[in-house]
Amino acid sequence: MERGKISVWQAAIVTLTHPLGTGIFVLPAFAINWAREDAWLVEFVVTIPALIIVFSVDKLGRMFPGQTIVQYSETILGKYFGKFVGFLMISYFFYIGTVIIFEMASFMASVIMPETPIVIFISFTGLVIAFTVYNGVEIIARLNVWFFSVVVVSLLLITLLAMKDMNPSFFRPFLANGIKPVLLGSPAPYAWRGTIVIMAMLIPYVKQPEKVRMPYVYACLILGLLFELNTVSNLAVFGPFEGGRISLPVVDMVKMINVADFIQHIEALLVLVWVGGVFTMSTGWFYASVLGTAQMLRLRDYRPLILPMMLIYVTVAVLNFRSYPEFVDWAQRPWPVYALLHQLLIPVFLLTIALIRGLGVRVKQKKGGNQS
Amino acid sequence: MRNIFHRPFFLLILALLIPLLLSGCWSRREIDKLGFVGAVAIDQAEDPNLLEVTAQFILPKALAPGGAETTGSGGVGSKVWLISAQGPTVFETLFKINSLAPNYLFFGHQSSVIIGEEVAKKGVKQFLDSFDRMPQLRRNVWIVVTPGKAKSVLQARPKLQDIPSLTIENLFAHQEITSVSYPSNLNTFFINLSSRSTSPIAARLTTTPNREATESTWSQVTGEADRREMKLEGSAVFKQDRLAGWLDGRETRGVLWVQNKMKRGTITFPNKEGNQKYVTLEVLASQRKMHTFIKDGKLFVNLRIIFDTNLVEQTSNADILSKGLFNEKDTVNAFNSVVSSQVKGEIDAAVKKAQQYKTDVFGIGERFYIEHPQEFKKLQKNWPEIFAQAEFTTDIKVKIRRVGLINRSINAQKK
Repeated sequence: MERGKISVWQAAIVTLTHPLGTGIFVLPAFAINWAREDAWLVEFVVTIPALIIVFSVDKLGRMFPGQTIVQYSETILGKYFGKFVGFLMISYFFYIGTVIIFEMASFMASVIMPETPIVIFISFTGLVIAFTVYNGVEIIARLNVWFFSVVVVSLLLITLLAMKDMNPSFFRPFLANGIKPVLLGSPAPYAWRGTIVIMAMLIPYVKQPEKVRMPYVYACLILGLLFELNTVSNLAVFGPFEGGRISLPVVDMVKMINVADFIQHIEALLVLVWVGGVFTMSTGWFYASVLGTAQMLRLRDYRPLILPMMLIYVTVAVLNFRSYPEFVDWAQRPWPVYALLHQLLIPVFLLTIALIRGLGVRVKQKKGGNQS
Repeated sequence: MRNIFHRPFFLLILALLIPLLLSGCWSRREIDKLGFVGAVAIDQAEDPNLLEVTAQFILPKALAPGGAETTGSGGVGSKVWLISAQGPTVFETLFKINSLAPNYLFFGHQSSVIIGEEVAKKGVKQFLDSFDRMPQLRRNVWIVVTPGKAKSVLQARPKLQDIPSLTIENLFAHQEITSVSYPSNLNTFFINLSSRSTSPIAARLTTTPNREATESTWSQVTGEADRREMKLEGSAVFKQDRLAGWLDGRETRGVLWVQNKMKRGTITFPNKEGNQKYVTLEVLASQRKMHTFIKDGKLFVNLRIIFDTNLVEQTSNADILSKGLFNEKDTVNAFNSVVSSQVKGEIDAAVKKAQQYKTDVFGIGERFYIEHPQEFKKLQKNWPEIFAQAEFTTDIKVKIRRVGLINRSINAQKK
């Protein structure tokens, strides 16, 4: 099936970059739109379900070594229901991947090349994704590591350069309207943050799967930190009302950067982050869905599935949404529910059933963990 | 399984397909096909439902060294090209301009939006949406309001810089130094417009004929006479999105003090010591602390402003050094109170005007919301009335740091 092996930290970075690429563009607006001054609290709230995902996925990975979520759901729930749950997960990975390509295409179309049909962006990205997935998990991991460094450096640079336009009084007052607006603002950030569930497809291909837990937790927390930095800087530049009104606050923030009439017009940096991010994200999702399908159907290799599935992938991406506002609405209302089921409830459900039925390997954890 | 990318036939197809992508993308625009819009002026057309939009193009040829055409007599300067059209919305009208202009309108270098008085009185929301939406535009585009027609600002040809949009951009660069105008870009304007209680404020731009140029006969022959200079001073106050009134330079500085946006500027006042002549201080850095509270339905605002100054000029014959200005407490306090009364006067003038218009241009409401969120929610509805009754107390501390390169003024040499 997949002979490649990746290191623990590569796996952590792959899960980390998954929500990152599009999240830094669209999330702040969602959070600020609901939570106003308290938008910076949203990421803290979202960390709780994210950590539940981390621990349940990691636990399942330990209990069923060498198996992905598609495989052990069959072990846990039996042939038919297990396959059904596996199918749900695969369809989720597949669908989110198509949404991400759509996002990329509409960003390119609305910010940079307004006249190019989005079919062009989508199908060419699709081709490259197919080629990458063909080369297996090692290539995907390396791509993600490369992209991660680019994003972190750009994000820090952007925040630093935009410091001049920031106004710290936009963070006050603290919880003037209670915790409710913060909770209302958290579904979409939760849905993004929760996509770290993709680790469930990667654990069997990690060299030392027993050491995954801490890097996975760190990945979850660092991700929160990066989103937090992003939300805070956008809130400080645009304030509680404008920040929620702009669709891609980071883009506007970067366009405003002007340091001494010298460092200005650096939007190209964003295109790099965006295209790179979306590409790695979409590659990961497509890989997960193709690999999962092959495992569900018990094929020897996943590669023959790539081209036919890519055709469906591109078609779904094109036909999915008619407009960008439709996506914005989808990301705030239906998606969090959809994400709750697939990212949180299914892993927790599988874990509960496995524990009740007493399935899987139970190795007593040594205190202190990783001795080398 | 054999890798598909190792098959020669596949590679050949790939090698033939890839060059297709090299031809570029759909939305390619070559630079010689673009018309660079430097500024857009918006006026009320004769028909009350229509806007008159004027775009100021920058002619790239004229910017090249030696490329400027000789100044023709009358009309608009040769480095820019103005073109107007009328329509119900801004974008619609700009597209009408596109059918008049051979080059595709490009807004990436637009530096300002100029709003005419008449259309500002009817509300600016009706046309600012387009500037907000446009992907080419940045949110640090300057917003200026002009008494009279906005188009006439673009028709001015300032002597030093022929291009009106660049002049506006440079005048805003000086705003930090003089502090008699307000740094109103699209972002700050929108933040205030969408805030709970703050009224937006925008810089005021006026044009004045250059009298020296008009009077000389030589300039009338060469067409210099119709040059007008631009002046960025004062500001326009909005109630919601409608123009409510104007603040002059002094009042605008009061707003800057209160908003903690004061960067640099000068304070000149008659010195009580000596022969009542003047002392000029240069403000270097200021800090503002604001505290608000409500008592018996009346709003109180406590301001505390601390700023550093340099003494840059002294025409009075008082010997400032020997009077112990920098070491004796009483003299220091007396001097400080004179300086702070100047600043107080600026703030009071601004407060008086703002209360008269019932517009909270200072952002007192936002500050009150930070300090007393629950009370603010009850008061938000009639905030303009509460603001209009507010009482301001200002406490000002001034520090003179340096006096320039001399110890004793030449005016204080002989008694």
